[in-house]
Amino acid sequence: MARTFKQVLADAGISMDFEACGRAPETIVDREIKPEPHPRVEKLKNIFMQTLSTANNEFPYWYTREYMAHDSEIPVVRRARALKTAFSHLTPVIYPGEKLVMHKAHYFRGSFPMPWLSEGFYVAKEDELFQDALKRGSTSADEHSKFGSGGGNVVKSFNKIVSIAGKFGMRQEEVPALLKLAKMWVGKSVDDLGHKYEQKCPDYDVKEKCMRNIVCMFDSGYTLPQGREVINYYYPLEYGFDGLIKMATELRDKVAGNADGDGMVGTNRLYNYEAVILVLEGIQAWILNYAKEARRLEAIEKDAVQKKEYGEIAACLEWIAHNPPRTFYEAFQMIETIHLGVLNEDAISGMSPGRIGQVLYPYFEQDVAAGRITEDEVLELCELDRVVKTSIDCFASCGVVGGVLSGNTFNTLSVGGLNAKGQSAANRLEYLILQAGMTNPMPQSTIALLYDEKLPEDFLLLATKVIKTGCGYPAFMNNEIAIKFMCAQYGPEGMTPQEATAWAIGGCLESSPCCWLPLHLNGKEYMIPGGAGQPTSVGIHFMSLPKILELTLFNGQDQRTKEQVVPPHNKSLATYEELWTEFKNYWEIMCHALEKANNIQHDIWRKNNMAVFNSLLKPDCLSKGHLINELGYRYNATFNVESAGTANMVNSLAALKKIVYDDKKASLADIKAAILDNFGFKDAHEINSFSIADQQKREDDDRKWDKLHFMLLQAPKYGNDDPYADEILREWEEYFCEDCKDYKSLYGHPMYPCQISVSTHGAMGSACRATPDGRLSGTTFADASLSAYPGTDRNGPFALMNSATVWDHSHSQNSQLNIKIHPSAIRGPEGAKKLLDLSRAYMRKGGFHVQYNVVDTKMLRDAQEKPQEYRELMVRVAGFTQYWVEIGKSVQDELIARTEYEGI
Amino acid sequence: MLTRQGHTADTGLIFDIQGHSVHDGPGTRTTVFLNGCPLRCSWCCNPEGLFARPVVMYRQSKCKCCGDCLAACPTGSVRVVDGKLTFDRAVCDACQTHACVQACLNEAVVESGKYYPIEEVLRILKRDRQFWGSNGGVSFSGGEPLMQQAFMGNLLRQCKKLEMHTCVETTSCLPTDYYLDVLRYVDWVFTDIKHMAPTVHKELTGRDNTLILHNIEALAKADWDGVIMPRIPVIPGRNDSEENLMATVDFIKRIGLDAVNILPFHRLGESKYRQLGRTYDLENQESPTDETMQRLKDMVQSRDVFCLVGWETPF
Repeated sequence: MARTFKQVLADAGISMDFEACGRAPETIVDREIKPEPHPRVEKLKNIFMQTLSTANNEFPYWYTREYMAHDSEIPVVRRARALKTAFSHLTPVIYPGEKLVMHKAHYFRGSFPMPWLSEGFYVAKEDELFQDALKRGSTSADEHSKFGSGGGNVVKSFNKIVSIAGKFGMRQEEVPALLKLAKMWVGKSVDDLGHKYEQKCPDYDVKEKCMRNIVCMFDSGYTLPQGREVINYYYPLEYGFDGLIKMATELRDKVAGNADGDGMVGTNRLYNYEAVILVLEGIQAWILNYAKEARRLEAIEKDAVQKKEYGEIAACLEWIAHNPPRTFYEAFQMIETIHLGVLNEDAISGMSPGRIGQVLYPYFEQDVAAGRITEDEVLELCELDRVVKTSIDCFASCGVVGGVLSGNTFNTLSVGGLNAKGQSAANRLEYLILQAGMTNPMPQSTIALLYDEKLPEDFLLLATKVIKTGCGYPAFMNNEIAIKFMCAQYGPEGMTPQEATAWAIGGCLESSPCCWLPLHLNGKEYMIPGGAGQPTSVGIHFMSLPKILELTLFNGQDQRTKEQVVPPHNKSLATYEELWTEFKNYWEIMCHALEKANNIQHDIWRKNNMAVFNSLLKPDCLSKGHLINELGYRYNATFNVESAGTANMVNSLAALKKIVYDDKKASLADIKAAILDNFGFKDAHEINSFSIADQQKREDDDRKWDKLHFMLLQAPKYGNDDPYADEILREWEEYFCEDCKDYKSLYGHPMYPCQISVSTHGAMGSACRATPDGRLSGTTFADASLSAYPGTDRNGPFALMNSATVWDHSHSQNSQLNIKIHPSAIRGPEGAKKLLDLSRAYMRKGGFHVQYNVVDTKMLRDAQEKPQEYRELMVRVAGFTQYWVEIGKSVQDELIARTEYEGI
Repeated sequence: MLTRQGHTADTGLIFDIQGHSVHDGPGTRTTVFLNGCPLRCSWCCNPEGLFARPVVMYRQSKCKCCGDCLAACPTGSVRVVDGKLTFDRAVCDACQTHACVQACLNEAVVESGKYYPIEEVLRILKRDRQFWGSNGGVSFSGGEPLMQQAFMGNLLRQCKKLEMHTCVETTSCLPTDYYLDVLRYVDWVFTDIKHMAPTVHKELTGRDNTLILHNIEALAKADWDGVIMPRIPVIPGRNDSEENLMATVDFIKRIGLDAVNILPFHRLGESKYRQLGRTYDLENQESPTDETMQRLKDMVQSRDVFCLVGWETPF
């Protein structure tokens, strides 16, 4: 007798009294049906939605003024004085309803330029900016509606607001001040000084040409010298700012004049501690200015509830300006303050809060137990934190903010993983953090789930339900793989396997070294994780692999600009092996040139622009008396080599191998001619769509390349479980992971691969001619490093994941696989389980990262046409979530083109 | 590797293999779509599966009207009419070359249905099973997945040997002995009951339902511990009367089953009819509303039979 359905369900422990489509058997609140933040969060979110990115000159003015006044001071002290003065003069601004207060600058989405890093852009744009500034307010409605399509970006000047780099708005009367400030840094900024010295490198010429032809995307030394790292909140939480000043003072007095056996930098400790004290005083003054503002508001507020809240804000700030926090609320405010403080110290993208669910847990546990706070209040604070983090703008060099980052700041927080005892680290607070990601879906903080087999099933299911809401997070990151990587990369600096478990994501998916430190609260000790390493994704930044192949095929000459980027190899490329060898040679020539130039830039940064605040937070700067620039950090082997366009390069090599070398169906000369002729198609720029699907033939096309193009398109492609292509990926990865060790950072450590594309696949694709895989000129590359090129993965996600794991991901800082999935494929409560099954299987196969865009392509197309109706639509790009309307068209096109898995 | 001969015990004709299939049985699955079907339901959403041989499909949106296929066709059966291709389907269906497919550089003229050696299917399933999760497995759909008897008998036996969870979506319109024999290797059976009245069933599908109902009943009473999930495709105006629904429910109860899955008609297959050069008879067919499905569900459940709606099922 066949089993009945009821028996089957009973066997599975499913009760029979559920509704039409079933109900989740697990106990997760039904937020996903109607995710709504708390009313106060909604109000603040509305302010955010109506606010534009705004820049002003308050911080740069005070910084520059103080810095220029002390030109004979020791560099670290000089910088600390400038920072202290700038922090002390920031005008505080508190919005009604805020609980977690403080902003970078005195706007809701405020930020400011740092001309001491790079001033050339403003000086070069002087005329343009002045003209914009002088234009009187005669704005048409047209101009107003324009910025709607950019979300919060000021893509165009309007009224009395001048657009800077298509992103920030500045009041026109401030523009002359910005230009004046910028001019004061000419020849002195990290950019200018770095440029002066990098030219001394014998292969500087190659570096310059790499940058000019977009083989490499950007210099890190003066654009985003810090970031892609995990912050450490421990010391202020444990000791309070007064405690830290006292500690630094005692240590300063102890080491003053003492080399302690270190004849090079031993005596520098005196100045370093001096700098630490100055900066801490500046931070305290900044906090107390906010406290004063809260008191002022309290005094004039009529509404009794709001009045009381201002009073509570003031009391909290007055306390944490001096002392370690006592409650969850104070601790949360303190880490928020520290976070903004660090971001104001330098141009930083990807300063990740890390595992704040672990950091704040001691306060959470004790407050909840004592009835000082409810879970609902905690949830509200977690939602508010998302407003704070999303409001942070990064004012870096302009090409970087738009072209690379899509305006994203990567304040990624991590959940899950293991605790210091090797147990699942998921705690109740982390459930609430995930839930807040659902109830208040905003791009920041993007969430990374450190997937470990030990994590509880309901935690993973909750994470999957968050993914299902379409917000693009959490991404699954493989804990085991990352720990292996940590041990291999940081073992030589003393990292133990136990310390490796403290790791978290810094930036979008940069695995970052962290450590455990003992936090004491009311007599109880908790081991909390926090960052312990230097920034990552500094070093050799975003190498365009398809472009390097173009150079290889064309004897070192860029085919867009016709510039000879690298010396000719003068080889006939008669065999695949010869092609592969020359490709690697070019790669190495360029990486070496970039390695040295970037080392010089970072060296200038560390000499004149070193981190003081961020440094003192990280172990073991305070105890060693050395900051980041003198290897004060526990882990310094963080510099890396970033790649972009992996799938297109692999597919191109596979196509050449198959068509030219194995089957001999076409000659290399034919393929080169076809590339130059773009297979008879128009250039992507001509039709203003960067998606392969939208490309159009030229009117005069005589179809002579059709057959060849078809053959190349039909050649084996990565992502189909086809060993022909997958072996090329494996060979590349094994070479890449090993080769990176040949490049050394200024701190003397070997580099390693970082394989994320962020948004570079748009910009780099745009500068790259057609490729032998059939991709057309100017079109966007495949995103990430392991995503398939749109439309080429024809065998579904299982085959793709199989292809992606042919190599050992633990030899790289990361790998990246983004999958677009149609909402219908994971509908219903079972949908979450099935999505979890898929992610888990990939993790078990050794995949490092997978993340989903749960979105209907039709909706994205509609959103491109009617951006004003999609202000809140969020999409996952490549390692981060961003508002659709705030990303560039080339990346939008790629998102639309990505293969969508329907699973019907 | 893939050959063009007919199906055998070791080679089957398959028109799609889909990984990450989430609506065709419990858990996450790989679904194998097999060619051939004994029925001809007008609402079929996989019309390419009706053919027992590879068939040419024409995707007009990709066609550049370049004429390469015309030049390649050995029988002159492809013509351009009003800026799009037309195929002489009688000739093309019998064509052994499908030279037009080879000639097309735009993937506008493609072939549906490929002969897979059994080892290749098993290789894919073995690869995919890592992704299925604890309760997933392989599903066989079509067409009628059990039509290729020798192949499926072999394949299902091997899947069971590998301890895979197996599921079929069948018409149950098959010789009884074979049906009962082959399903010994199947854990989960979705079987359609398209109509209870034999004459109407014949009108709708080309065959009456005597054999189908007989087989389902025999399976329900057989010494077999798999699961039977009857399915009713709800086609408004054709089989959604209360009378028919109740007759189906009565049948289900009588043979000792307690659940049914009702599926609303959808038009997702419509474009494939065009690609196959066939007319879609259900152009004006309405899809049932959510309210209708809910009403039908209430009706079924009032008879104490569990009713699942659509693809959102709790497994």
